[in-house]
Amino acid sequence: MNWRTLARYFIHGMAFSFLFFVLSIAWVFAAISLVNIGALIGLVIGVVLLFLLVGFINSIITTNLWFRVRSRFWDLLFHGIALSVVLLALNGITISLPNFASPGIATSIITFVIAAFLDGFAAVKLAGYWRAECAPWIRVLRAEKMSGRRLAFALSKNALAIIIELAIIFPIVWIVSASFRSYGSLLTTTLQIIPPHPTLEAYSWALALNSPFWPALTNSLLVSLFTTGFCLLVASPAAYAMSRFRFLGKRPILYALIFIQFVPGLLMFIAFFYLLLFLKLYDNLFGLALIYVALVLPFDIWNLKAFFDTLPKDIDEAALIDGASYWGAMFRVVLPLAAPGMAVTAFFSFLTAWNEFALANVILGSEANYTLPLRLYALTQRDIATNWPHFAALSILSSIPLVIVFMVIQRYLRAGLAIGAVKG
Amino acid sequence: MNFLADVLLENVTKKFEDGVVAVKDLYIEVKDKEFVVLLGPSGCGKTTTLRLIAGLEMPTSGKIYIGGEDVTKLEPWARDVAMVFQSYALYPHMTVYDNIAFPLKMRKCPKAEISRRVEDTAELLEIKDFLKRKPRQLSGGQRQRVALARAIVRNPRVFLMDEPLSNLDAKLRVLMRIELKKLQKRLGVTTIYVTHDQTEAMTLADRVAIQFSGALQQYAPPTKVYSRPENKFVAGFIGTPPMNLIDGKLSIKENQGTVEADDFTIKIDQELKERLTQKNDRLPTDITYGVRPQDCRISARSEQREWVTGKVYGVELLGSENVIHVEVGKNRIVALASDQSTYQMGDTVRVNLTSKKAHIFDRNTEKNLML
Repeated sequence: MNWRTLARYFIHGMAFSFLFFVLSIAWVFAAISLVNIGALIGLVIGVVLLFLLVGFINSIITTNLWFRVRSRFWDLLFHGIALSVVLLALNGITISLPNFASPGIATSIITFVIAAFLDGFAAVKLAGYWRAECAPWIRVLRAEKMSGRRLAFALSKNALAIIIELAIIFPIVWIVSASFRSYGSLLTTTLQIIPPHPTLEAYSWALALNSPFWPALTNSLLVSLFTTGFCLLVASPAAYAMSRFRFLGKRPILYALIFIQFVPGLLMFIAFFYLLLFLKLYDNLFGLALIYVALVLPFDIWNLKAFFDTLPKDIDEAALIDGASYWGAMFRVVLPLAAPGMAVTAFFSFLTAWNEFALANVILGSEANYTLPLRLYALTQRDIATNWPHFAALSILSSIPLVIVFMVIQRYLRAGLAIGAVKG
Repeated sequence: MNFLADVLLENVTKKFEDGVVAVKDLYIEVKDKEFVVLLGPSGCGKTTTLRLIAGLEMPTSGKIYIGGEDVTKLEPWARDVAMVFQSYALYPHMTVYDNIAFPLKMRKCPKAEISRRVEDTAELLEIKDFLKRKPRQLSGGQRQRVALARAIVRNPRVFLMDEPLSNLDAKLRVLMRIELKKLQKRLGVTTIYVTHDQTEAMTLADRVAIQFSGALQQYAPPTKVYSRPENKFVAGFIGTPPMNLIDGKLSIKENQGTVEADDFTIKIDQELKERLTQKNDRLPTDITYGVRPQDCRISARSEQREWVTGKVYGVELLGSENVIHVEVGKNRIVALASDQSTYQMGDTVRVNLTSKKAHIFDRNTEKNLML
């Protein structure tokens, strides 16, 4: 071992201490705000961040001084954990013990210099396990070389994503948390994510046989499924015609469909109201579904048309020549190819009908016809104080069908199904 | 109406909504079992012609007959034609087997027969190993064969092919060209084939229909199109390198005829002059003199008086022969020389344009006066 290598160990150790000192200030601020979210979750995130920080610092220094280090999330985390343990033990022996035994400036300086060597040495040896081109058992995990700059970029990119995701997830986490609380425990002044005395009371209320959840779920399913089915049934031939045929008034119709979208549905509710009265469909789920169809259909037609436009025309012309009628070409060739587009369109229709509240509130009068959003709203409109845990449980339960629909549909969302149709 | 014709386009015109006339007053009759190639530069209306026959476009005027039956108003599925698209247009969500079986399924063929015929066709085109695959798992050449198989599986009255070989690489294209010709002869199905590649047209066709800006220019067997072009367009379009076309003034005297170009004079071959005067009562003065590079002789020093003198503008080495571009006054003349020739750019050379295989076109009507 020559003096150059020793010097590099020293530099490594010093750089690590310095960077850790600087960055841990940022970490402390982050940790303080994290603990505010909730004791346990905040603590966990804080500790994970600390380990990531340690792994990150050592990866950067090692990459610049010695060799490349793999730096995916799990690499950094385990790297950080291992190094933290090693450094804690090492520095306990090299710094804390001598300074405790004989305090003094000389001891401090000497121990610090020795510690810097040893820390650097340990950190490099440890980083060797995450070396980009080494250790077979690690290579299995995932081998990727990354320069310090790319690593920093990737991390900052992920940091932004994490912040955004936290902002989106937080209300959901809060509702989930609320649904596990008892009626009284929400009335506190502390912001706790993990409820102190979790209970399933709200869910047992919502899932009881006589709970208002079941009729509302049935109503919502009826309306949404009808809307989705009817819209697809009408929109797919319409969109196919718009995409493939030339006919009189095609452009005006397409623009009219867009124009209708400019007008919010709520603006027309008086018209809807009288229309449904006239049709004797007021306070009727079928009437509500018809209005949803009217609201969703223009978008569906445009969306499907855009998708059909991307499918090569040759394919359905080939089907026509092979003996299929226009309907045959549409059902046997174009629609199967448009499955991703159909899935997206169906999901959008379902979502709109499932979540719509304002029009339903106007059109449905009797409680037996309430859809889920109306039922939720009704919970807040009682004479006595709103039972928020019940409200939270009901919201979560009412979003579960959406999740299921999405899971069923998402396998059709695979892109690139049409690849291979044309050309070589 | 000619009852021998399997396909007949009777004065068909197609005008699109934007005013473009894609096909102009087209009259083509295709005999039973004939292989006809529609040839022309891009945008000449040849693909539109094919789509008219397939029923994918409706003619603005005129009538289309297939097998003696008026199909002008029939939808594509009722015409009993099969088409191979340039893009192959395979159904990507179906296996190769289902792709080939599709036309039979659409015609309510019994299942056992479908599987027999698909197997037979796959055997014929050597794609039996891929029947369970999806089109995206095939190479370009294999997709091409699947597209062909889908067309021939149901013995249609007419095959329509829209540049089916243009997406293949050069080597495979030559191979498939021969295969295609053999297949057509073996199956004996009337075929109409669209291409812009004249080599393809020459090798495949029984008759070539040359189209330009929507109108039919000439409809004849390949050899005739080459040796007896009906007009200036056909003469310039067919043949590589293209025919030399030189504008000039024609003068016919007792013993000899000449063409006065801007900077030089071409002596007309005696035999040619006689044929010219025999065929035409009155000859125009403004003509275009056409002679193929293969019929021009080039020499570094020739004492012949009627040869024209020019400067070598460029030399293309093709291996088997050299193509020499010669600048003669304002005209550029292309001549073929043997691969042994050593002409350099800037050399002064003499070119003989007098040939009994030359053509003379009326400059106003562009018609060939030799026919």
